[in-house]
Amino acid sequence: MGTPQPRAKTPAPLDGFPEVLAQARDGSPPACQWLYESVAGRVAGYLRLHGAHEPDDLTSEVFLRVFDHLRDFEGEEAGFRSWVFTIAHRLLIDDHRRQSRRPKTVELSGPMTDRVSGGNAEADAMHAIEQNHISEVLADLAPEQREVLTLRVVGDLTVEQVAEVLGKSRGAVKSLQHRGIAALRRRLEEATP
Amino acid sequence: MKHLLLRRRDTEAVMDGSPVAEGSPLDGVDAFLTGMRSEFAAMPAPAPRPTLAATLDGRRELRPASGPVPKPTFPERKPRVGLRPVVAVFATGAVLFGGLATAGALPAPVQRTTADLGSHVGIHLPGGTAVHAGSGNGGAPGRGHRDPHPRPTTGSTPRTSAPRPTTSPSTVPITPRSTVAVPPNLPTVPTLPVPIPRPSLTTGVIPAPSSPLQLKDRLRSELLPKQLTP
Repeated sequence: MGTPQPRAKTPAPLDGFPEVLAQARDGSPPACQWLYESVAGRVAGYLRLHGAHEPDDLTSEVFLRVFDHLRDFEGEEAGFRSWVFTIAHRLLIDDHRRQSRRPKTVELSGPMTDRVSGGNAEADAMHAIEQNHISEVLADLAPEQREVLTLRVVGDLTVEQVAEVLGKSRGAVKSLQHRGIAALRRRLEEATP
Repeated sequence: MKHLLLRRRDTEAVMDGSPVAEGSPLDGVDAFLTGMRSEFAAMPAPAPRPTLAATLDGRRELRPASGPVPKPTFPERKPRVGLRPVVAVFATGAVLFGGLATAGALPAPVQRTTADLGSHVGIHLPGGTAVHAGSGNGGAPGRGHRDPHPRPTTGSTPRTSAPRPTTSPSTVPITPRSTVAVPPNLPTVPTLPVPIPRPSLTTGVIPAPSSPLQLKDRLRSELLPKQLTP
């Protein structure tokens, strides 16, 4: 693994989260923009890791739902992230159902190379290789284990929040997480020469 | 490589992003999860699609809040305690009255009335007045009337051993047995013996009466003089 270099940072809130939320409810463009940029990257990564058909389109769909129901939301920033991922999780399930009914298409280009855009071709290629490797390793896990690991790592959610998103108990999520880590370790050890 | 047992505490630490010790069994997992965070959690937000972009720019208004969900209101339940004693007294009385009526232990007029009323709805109680004359069962309770118009029996009913007619069914109409009304015991009326038609000596054909009037005339002319003759 290379040294991690974060490419996008969560923007600093204009004020406290409650104020941003209140402004966004009133339709303030900077507040809406901040809410979008604070979570959209994670949501897109989560959707991409789970093989969404069009992750960027689905991310936009997730946030359309978020903003449509923003006036019904009550809570803090962590609760907001958990709520956004709940919507993303449900739309992902719908997307998988749609994909299963739709005839499959084969991409002519590489699976990840066309999805990474940037000015540095070499860096982009490295990112694409890294992302492919991560996707392949995670694909070997059980779906529920993969779901828990991605929500915890990519979504940055706590065990309780993951339990809320998936509709499972806290103990069940902890158990899935433990087994997922064990499976991941076995998989990585097998791949190591 | 030998698989070491993982402790939940170590798993939690790796998931939270805490650094693991050098040579830890979760070293590789930690590096993998770090790469996962940097590649997927720190992705730039994708460019919003037109509808979402309009929302973010304030060109599209947000949907108004749906408001608090009203709780369904139910009418307050009335206490049913007041009805219970009434129901209990009524049920006890019904059971007691029914038992006495079945045993025939009610006072005579009440028993008779009860039995009469019960017989109308198919409940036969002792002490009733209405016993059908001529029913042939001695007026025993519970074996009342016979239906004067019973329904024709279906094919599943076993057939009786009555001899079948030898003539063609198309020439002689056969009245179904099941539709013949059996009258109760009626007073007997002396009837004349029915003459048996004898075949003609010349032709051997039985002369059949063409009408009831002809039969009547034949009876008068042939049989009555013989009977009156000493």
